[in-house]
Amino acid sequence: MQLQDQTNPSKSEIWAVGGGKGGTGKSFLSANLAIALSNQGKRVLLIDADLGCANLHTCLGIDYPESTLSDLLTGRIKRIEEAIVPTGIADLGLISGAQDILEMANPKYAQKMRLLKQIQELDMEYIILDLGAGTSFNILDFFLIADQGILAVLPEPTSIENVYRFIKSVFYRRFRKIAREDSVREIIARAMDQKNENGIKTPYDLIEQVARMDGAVGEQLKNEMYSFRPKLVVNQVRSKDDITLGFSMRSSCTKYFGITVEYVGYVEYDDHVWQATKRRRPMLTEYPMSSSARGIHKVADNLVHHKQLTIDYLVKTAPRR
Amino acid sequence: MKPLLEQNFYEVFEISTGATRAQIDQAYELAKKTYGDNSLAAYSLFDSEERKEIIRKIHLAYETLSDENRRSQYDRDLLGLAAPEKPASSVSESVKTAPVVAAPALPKSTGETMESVEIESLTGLDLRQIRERLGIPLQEIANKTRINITYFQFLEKNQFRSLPPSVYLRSYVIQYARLLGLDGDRVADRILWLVEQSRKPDPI
Ligand SMILES: Nc1ncnc2c1ncn2[C@@H]1O[C@H](COP(=O)(O)OP(=O)(O)OP(=O)(O)O)[C@@H](O)[C@H]1O
Ligand SMILES: [Mg+2]
Repeated sequence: MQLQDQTNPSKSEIWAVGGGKGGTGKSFLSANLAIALSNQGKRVLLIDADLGCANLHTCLGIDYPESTLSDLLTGRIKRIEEAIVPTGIADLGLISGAQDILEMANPKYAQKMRLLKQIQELDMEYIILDLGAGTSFNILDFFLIADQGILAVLPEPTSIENVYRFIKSVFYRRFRKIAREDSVREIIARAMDQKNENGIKTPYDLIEQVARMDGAVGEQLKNEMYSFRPKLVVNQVRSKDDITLGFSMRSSCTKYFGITVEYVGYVEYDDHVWQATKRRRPMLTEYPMSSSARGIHKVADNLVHHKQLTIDYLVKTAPRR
Repeated sequence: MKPLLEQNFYEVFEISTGATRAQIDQAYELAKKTYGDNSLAAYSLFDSEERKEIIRKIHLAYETLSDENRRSQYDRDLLGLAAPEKPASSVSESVKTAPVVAAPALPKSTGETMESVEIESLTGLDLRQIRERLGIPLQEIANKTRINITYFQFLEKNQFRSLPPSVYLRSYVIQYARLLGLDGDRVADRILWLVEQSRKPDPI
């Protein structure tokens, strides 16, 4: 579902971290993945795209900066460079977001695209977006624009349900952008309604129905489904079952949505994380040898090399108690 | 990916056709866990009926893929894959000469043969069951007959009102039934009768 052209090889790669529910570790993952990459000598820009609820600067132990993403979106400042603040970590810069709702920008789609295009032209290798909670259009659009959309999930029912809802929202948002015909849009809107009477239960049914109305659009939707490959990270893992959950979610998504979800890794529940949080320091710099640090490095490695966990991994890892 | 209904046994387990026995066993264990009663991953996407259906399909797939002979036969007959290296003695005569998806390919142990299907009382659901027993993906029938797969999906779900007019339908059903080793004309008679019933106005 990448929207930008693939012609510029030096273009930086955008990762977006989302997943619906609040508190699943999106900011934790964003900050620490960024640090993991910069530790490997990569030039990284971290962007707090949690418009209205920004707190990445706190995770990194820096004060709320003067200029933010909102200022770029509202046009108060023109040059992106002005909004980048150093983090004290080599090769890692931060653009903060708006801290409260009043300052929050509500950018138009084209505006967001333009901004991201500019950001991509900066001399960076990786750009990491912390999307914040929810399924607002801003969040969905940023997720769609990203080269790698990362979903942070906790091994608990509400978080899992939210991730599924997030996936559904993301590609229905995309579908609506493709479908121009009112009649097709109508079908898509109705499919979003759980209790629709057309018998549209799954995205498959939706696509079949659309294909019958308009073959070309149906074909396009199918292609979108194929190219949409969100990455899954299970955070705060406490047991082997929690690790297995990632594989189960991957399978369920394939069977239900017809999409390929890649399980790129998990991070153990680790007291070092809140110890670091309390001190307003990033976990990876404070406790580089901790179990959660190991998880972060593995996830970063899989994302960089486009790899994922395989089921025989479950056999190889001894149960942890 | 394709809907479950159309998936072949490898797709059911989300493994490659070259998967080892160990990988198949792992995928089977994972699938049972994923779609079982205590699963956190599946309950919000599939209701309990649907999960039962998936589990049924998983067992069906495992029955074939865990049995070396049945698996290689499945590979050859249904997926058109080259037979893996194996001693010639393990390939029985009937297997070598078995026509594509013919009834004799059914293992005796399932206790269900073509003869036990009463065509006079058969519905779309039975057709689906027969097809799955044979391990034939719906997509394959669609490819072979060049008929839109959605018609077969409606047929197998008894959604008769969504099927095309009888003039076309008859030939579709005949082709479908023959690929399952059934008597095409008799199955078509039965299905067209069902379609006719469904198209009668509802009694007030
Ligand atoms: N692996 C972990 N082990 C222990 N604690 C963790 C772990 N991951 C995250 N936490 C803690 O969980 C809390 C929520 O994390 P975080 O703020 O990153 O979530 P978020 O998804 O960004 O939340 P929001 O939706 O509010 O932006 C934090 O206090 C963090 O320290
Ligand atoms: Mg956050």
